[in-house]
Amino acid sequence: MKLLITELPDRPGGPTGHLKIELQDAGGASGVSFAHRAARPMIEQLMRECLDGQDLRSVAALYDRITAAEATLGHDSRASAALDVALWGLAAERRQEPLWRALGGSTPVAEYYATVPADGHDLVALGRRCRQLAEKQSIRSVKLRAGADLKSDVSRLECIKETIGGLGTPITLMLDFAGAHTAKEVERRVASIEDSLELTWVEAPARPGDFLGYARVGRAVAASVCAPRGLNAASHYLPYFHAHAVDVVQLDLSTMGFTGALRIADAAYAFELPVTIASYPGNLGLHLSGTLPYFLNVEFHDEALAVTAGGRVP
Amino acid sequence: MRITGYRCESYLMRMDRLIGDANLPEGVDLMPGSVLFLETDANLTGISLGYGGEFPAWMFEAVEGRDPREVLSLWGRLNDLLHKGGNRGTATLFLSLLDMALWDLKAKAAGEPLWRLLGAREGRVPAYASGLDYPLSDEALFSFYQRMAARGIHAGKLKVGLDPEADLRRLEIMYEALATSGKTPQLMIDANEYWSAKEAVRQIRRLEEKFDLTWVEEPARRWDYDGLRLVSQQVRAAVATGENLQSVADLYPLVSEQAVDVINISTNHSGVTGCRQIAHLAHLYSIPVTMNNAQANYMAHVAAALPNHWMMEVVDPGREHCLRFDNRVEDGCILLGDSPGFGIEVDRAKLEALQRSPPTGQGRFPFPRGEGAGRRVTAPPRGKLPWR
Repeated sequence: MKLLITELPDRPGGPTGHLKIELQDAGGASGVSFAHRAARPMIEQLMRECLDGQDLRSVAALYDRITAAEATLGHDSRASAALDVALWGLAAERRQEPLWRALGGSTPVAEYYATVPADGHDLVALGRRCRQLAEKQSIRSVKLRAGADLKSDVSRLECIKETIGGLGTPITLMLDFAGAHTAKEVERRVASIEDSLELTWVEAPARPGDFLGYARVGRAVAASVCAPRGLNAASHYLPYFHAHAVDVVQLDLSTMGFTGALRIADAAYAFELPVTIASYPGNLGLHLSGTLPYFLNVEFHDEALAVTAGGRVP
Repeated sequence: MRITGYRCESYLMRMDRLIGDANLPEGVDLMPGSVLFLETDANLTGISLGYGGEFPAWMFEAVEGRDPREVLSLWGRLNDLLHKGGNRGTATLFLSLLDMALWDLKAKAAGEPLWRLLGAREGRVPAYASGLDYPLSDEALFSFYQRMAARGIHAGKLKVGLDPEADLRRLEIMYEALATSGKTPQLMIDANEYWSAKEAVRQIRRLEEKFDLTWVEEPARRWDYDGLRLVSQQVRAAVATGENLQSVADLYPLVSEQAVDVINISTNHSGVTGCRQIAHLAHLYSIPVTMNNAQANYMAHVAAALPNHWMMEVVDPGREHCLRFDNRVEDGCILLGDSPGFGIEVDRAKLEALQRSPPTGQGRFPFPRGEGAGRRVTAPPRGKLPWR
């Protein structure tokens, strides 16, 4: 069993500091995942202390082992998540199955949306890119990262709506506040936007961990409240579920791996909450789409807009 | 791989001894059984075990021609089909049966035992003994738990509820028998929803004056989250429940209302998929799950791979006469072998013999609720049961 870590080159305007992780077994099968460079020492330590000598088919048990070890050492869940994604890839390849079927799903259904950054695109460029996404990739859903200024958010949302909506198909709009504001501030901004536009969800409408803020925004606005990226499967989600603080659950492979994502999706199903899948290099999250009872959509990893966390597909 | 056909064989079995609880203390030794054979074009047959009844053809048609390895997706499809009438009652039994056969096939297609396919590290599940012992005499009770202790099991669950004095005496007997394992016995009791919540509090407190109880099972009705929570708050033991619920949707109110400390999952909880859903919800809330007994202990495969599984119920009334299976109870654990899938094979000749000449004995279908349950504790008349 071998662990190969490759540093991916940074690209101007694109994601930086990313690694490709590859787990290989003696039979030549391998599984691939991606992680930020900061996770490298932890990935190597977990490999040494938890995975070496283990039967790598024991994916669920190994996930519990590596997440526990990682938490004991005071780290976030990125290293265990990267190893879990690679372990699932390896397990599927050993069984000579596509990953989506190894996970138990059917053919992935491509209900995806694109995320548009807060800055760096004027309205003309934004309109052009949205038209391309709509025409070439059938994108009908767009998530905008909220900027500093409410007025420019409204004009960008309107630009997206007119460009894609102008093609004659319904469009859904989401707005991501990335935890940068207080809940009260978000309530005011969303109320103002909702005077003229309909939002499907607002994401991360309060500081990370402030589930009380999420809950109050959910009670104040018409849009659904979507959980942030970056939550782990072990402990982060409980308060959000228990306080009914989110209307949409976001699964993030980069912090949950496939194993954690499957578990949180089951809990979301118990709470009757739809799940969305955060973007991940290679659009690996798509593999989950056919397994989840309340699958909503998956965030499309749009290289041209270079918007999301995660590395690039080699 | 495509699903091409099915056969569901029903039969009646006579167990080697009586089993019963507070609802039917004289017990039964007859039990309906069924085996679902799910055929594929890959020369693999999925096998799952149920409780009789005619498998609905429309449910098979929903998966016909589909790939069984896509079981999570097929579960969603089946559950959607049950929308209007609901995933409950006999519909759940058949959904469970079909889902388990699909998982059996998925593991067989990979050439792996199901515990491995599900990602467990080892095919080893801690066990507790459960006599389903209301019809047993004091001597038979001792010998059951002693037999289990000889296999390294030190935890046991006693059926209680009708006779406070006898419950105390029989707990002592179970304790003594389990102590022969050489370990400190761990005691559980099961009232099978016979008590009201307040009755449960009184009864349990009296038992707790003498015994340390790990959990009390079904001390109030299955859906009564206020009652279950009340019991949990007023006694020391954990409240376990869930076996008569059928899906994660049923368990949701108990979990979100913080009314349950231990969740029982079983073959009737919407299949392997349903058990996983419940366990994953419970895991979020740090609630352990325990697998109910199953013919041939086959659900240990599922338990082995759950992150929050505690211990699985083992009984030995003899329900496997027409089955061969690849597991054994040893060192206090169910040890699963490496045969693909659930590792169950059916002895066709024995099954056909049971179908040709159904055994006679003591049976009650369906299993009823006891006289006086929820209102008053009615001890059986003296002389009616071997222990009274």
